Amino acid sequence: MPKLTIDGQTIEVPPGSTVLQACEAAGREIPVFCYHPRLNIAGNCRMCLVELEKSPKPIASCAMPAADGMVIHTDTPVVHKARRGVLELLLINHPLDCPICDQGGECDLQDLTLFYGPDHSRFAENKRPVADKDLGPLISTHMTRCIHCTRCIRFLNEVAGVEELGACARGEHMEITTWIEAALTSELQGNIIDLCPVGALNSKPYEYRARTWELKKTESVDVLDALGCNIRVDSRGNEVMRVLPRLNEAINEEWISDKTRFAYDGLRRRRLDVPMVKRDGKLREASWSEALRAAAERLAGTGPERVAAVVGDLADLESMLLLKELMAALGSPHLDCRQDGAKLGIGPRASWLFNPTIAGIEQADVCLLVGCDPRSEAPVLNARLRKRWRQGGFRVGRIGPPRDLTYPVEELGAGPQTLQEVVGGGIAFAQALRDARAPLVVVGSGAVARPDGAAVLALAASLPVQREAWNGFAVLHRAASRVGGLELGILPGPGGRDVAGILHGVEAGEIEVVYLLGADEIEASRLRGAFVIYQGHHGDRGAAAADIVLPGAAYTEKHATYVNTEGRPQRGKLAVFPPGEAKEDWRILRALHDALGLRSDVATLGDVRARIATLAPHLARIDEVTPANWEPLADAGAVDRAPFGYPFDDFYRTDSISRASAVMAECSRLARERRASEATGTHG
Amino acid sequence: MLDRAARSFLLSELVSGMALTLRYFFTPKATISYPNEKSPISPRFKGEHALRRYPNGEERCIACKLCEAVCPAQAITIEAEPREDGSRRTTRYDIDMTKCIYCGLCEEACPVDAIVEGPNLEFATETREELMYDKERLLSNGDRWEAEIAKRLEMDAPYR
Amino acid sequence: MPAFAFSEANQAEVARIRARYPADRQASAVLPLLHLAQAQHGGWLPRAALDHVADLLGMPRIRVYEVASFYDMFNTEPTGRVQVRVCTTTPCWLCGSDEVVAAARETLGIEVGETTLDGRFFLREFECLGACANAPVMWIDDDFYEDLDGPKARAILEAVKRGEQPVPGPQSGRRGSEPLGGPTTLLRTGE
Repeated sequence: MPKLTIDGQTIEVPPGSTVLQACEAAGREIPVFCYHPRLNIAGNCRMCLVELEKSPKPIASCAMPAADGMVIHTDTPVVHKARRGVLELLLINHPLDCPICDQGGECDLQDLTLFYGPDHSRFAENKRPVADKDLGPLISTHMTRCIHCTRCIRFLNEVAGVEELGACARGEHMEITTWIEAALTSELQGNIIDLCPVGALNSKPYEYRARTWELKKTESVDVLDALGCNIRVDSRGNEVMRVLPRLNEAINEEWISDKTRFAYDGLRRRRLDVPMVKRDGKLREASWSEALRAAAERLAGTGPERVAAVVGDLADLESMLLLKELMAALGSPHLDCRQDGAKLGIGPRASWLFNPTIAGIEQADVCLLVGCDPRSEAPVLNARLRKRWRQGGFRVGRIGPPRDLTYPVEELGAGPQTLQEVVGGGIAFAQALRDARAPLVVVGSGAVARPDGAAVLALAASLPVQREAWNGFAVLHRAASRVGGLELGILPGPGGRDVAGILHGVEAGEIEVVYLLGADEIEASRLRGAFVIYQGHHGDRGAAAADIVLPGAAYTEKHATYVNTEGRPQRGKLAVFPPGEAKEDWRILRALHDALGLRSDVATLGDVRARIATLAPHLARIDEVTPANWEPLADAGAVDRAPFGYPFDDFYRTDSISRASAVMAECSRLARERRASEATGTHG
Repeated sequence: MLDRAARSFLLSELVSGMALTLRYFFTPKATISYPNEKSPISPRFKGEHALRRYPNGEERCIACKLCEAVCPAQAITIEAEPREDGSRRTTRYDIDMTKCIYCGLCEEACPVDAIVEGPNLEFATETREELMYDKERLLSNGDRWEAEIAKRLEMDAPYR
Repeated sequence: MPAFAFSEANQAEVARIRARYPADRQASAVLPLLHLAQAQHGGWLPRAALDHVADLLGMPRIRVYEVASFYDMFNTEPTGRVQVRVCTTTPCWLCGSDEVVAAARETLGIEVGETTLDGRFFLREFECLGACANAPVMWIDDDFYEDLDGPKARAILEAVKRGEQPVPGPQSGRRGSEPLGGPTTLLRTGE
């Protein structure tokens, strides 16, 4: 433990710390551009210079290891002069176009120049212009503003694992570029916008549309994958202007995927904003009372055995509870939240949670992916796996078709029979799992969403991954609503049908009315025989089959609770109001209770939450994971030989919001073209 | 005592008052017959707003929204997006002249001298709606007053 | 984009170079391989060659682009067959590199950064060539010509133009970088 003196204060820091970290521990703020705690140290901006006694020159604190007996000064004329000098040099080539720069107002260079910089420049020559680069539909560039901190390069190399940006040429001619004009391919590329300390890399969809100071900032939770990444929704008026990540070490650190960040333009398109009722074969606008009355009449006028409900991927906990209560009051057992047909939720709670937690990945030493493609199902989780791999001593095996995950993976096989072999100990990887200190098995939702899913789950659960205070069995869900639905028991009751059963029932004429709570991932065309009531926010597959449309709110438009794949309940907050006459989803279901003449003692959102807290107390402990007790699963029969499939071929368009987004459509088109050219080998 | 009596009997106060009146009777008049005559105004006079253009006809405003941010009366509303040529421009620039307090901070904040308060003070209207200026109106103001605005800016420049 | 592959003869050289480095440090071979590729491809590196080297060594392509653009010795655009580079960094400049540049421009009939019409000569200014003791220096293909002035540079270039190969090294008659007026120390030997 090195002991240093910083501005007269003695402080002890862990071995391996840098002087910068020691200064921060001592409460001194050191200005930086290139240093980032989650990236390798580059030491090229020189902004962090501090004075070290007995050193002839100021030292770059970010790159200097803290050593015993160092005496550091951070507030001396030498340090101030050094900072002023560095800023003057940076500003030689940095244009003074802050008024048209999207970074203006949240720019490190602007802020640090204000605090530490010179008041004028002595440089009278021309500035160096740099041609802008085309990095694709997500990132706009103004490369003249670049100060060559190389954070973007380091992020893509280290965190995203897609080495596409580089610093070409050198000295005054150095440029950050892809060299060959090509869109970036990483699904985490949006993060380099946040990392850029100046306005060189900006969000293209947000370009020039708002200034930082006029945005209302709402701290919320993402629902476009099952991780529940913490986000900040920036809105102006009643429009979401951008989505940014929020720091949460337990889930997303400070990264979010491009879908989370850029799909928000889908919130403005294809919205359902008025209630609609089908008359003469066409959906026509109606008032709320008409629509609710029509829905209630139909629900009440049909035998409970012939009514079913399906919960979609973006549903919140509160509306799911009210739907469950509605179905219970009607007496129908046909209720399911597993649109993908995953055989989850039957066993104990631990059999469908990501038990080791996302942060726990960093403790793991061996990982087996079972029918799971974390890169498309949860890119931020994939970044965590990569981070663990970069720390060394991490072995990853996969059962499932090969796909590039940005780190080396041992291909064990493609289907359940390989899983049987691993369970039987027949292959070397099984031994590694057994010997591991903290083994991790990640079961993808694709592996259990098949007829033999229960058997696959039981097989995977029989792997020896339990240790003292460590449960390495993890299920990676694909949808934000899934764990919440399972926790609340949004599952077929006794004699009830699951999603496949409901679809069969409709085709056989045994189910007459289907209530879809934002369910868009089922084959809606098979619902043609039924009377469909669709409650949701987008005119997507579900609404296309609807006879009554009840317009609901998207995740940025309601106060709602979501449970992520770890079983961590989190609160999303209202950033903008639902468009038109759309309402928060729990209100719609509450109103439907009234229209049906059912007694309901909930009047406010607080009442619904209180009800959830009594049903499942752990869901009221917001932001906390309540660990589940591990019980072995019963054997669930034989597995078949079909190889595992992955849920998403197209990462960019997986739900009704991202399907409505033009930006995501463009990304998806580029990704398809890239795959096609790779398949035919016409690239390079 | 005697002095006071003498003053009241000789009406000296009245006389000096009347003398003042007489003096002003012969001095030049300060009043002007307004619509026909106008008093001179300072080059810093803060009158009706205008959006200026560059000599090549390009609008100056770059949608930085500093005027919107600085406006104490929140009279300015701006919306922006990239224009077809990729430059940053406003799609909407509204000033509610009924909210405006003519403080001139928008002019102070503007980095490109786009929004100015011109010399015009005669823009009374018959309805409130006419005082909700949009971008088109402000630009046409700029075109109309450009010569005078440029002269005023030049005169004021040494003191900025 | 036309494909690039090392010639039969160079394949063996590639294998020899790669054998110098451990299997997990193959990226170290990037500089010699780029030199080899450039020599094979008429003095410059097309993108196909860069990609080929990257794929060969298992490096991300951008890393090879960075290396190729960093070093001035690599040309990423077509150039003349004979590379004439004149050092213009401070020591050479103080010793009269301006004259050498002027001589090269006149003799070759091109400006700095240009290639002659017949595609034979390519003239460029270069940063320090590390031979400051013999400034000014001109570097033609693989040889350094040192201690130049205008006429000497002109004579050398004329000779190269005629297809001759002038003797490289100092043109002032001294050996290596010993003092111009002859040795000043170690004059007596054998004591």
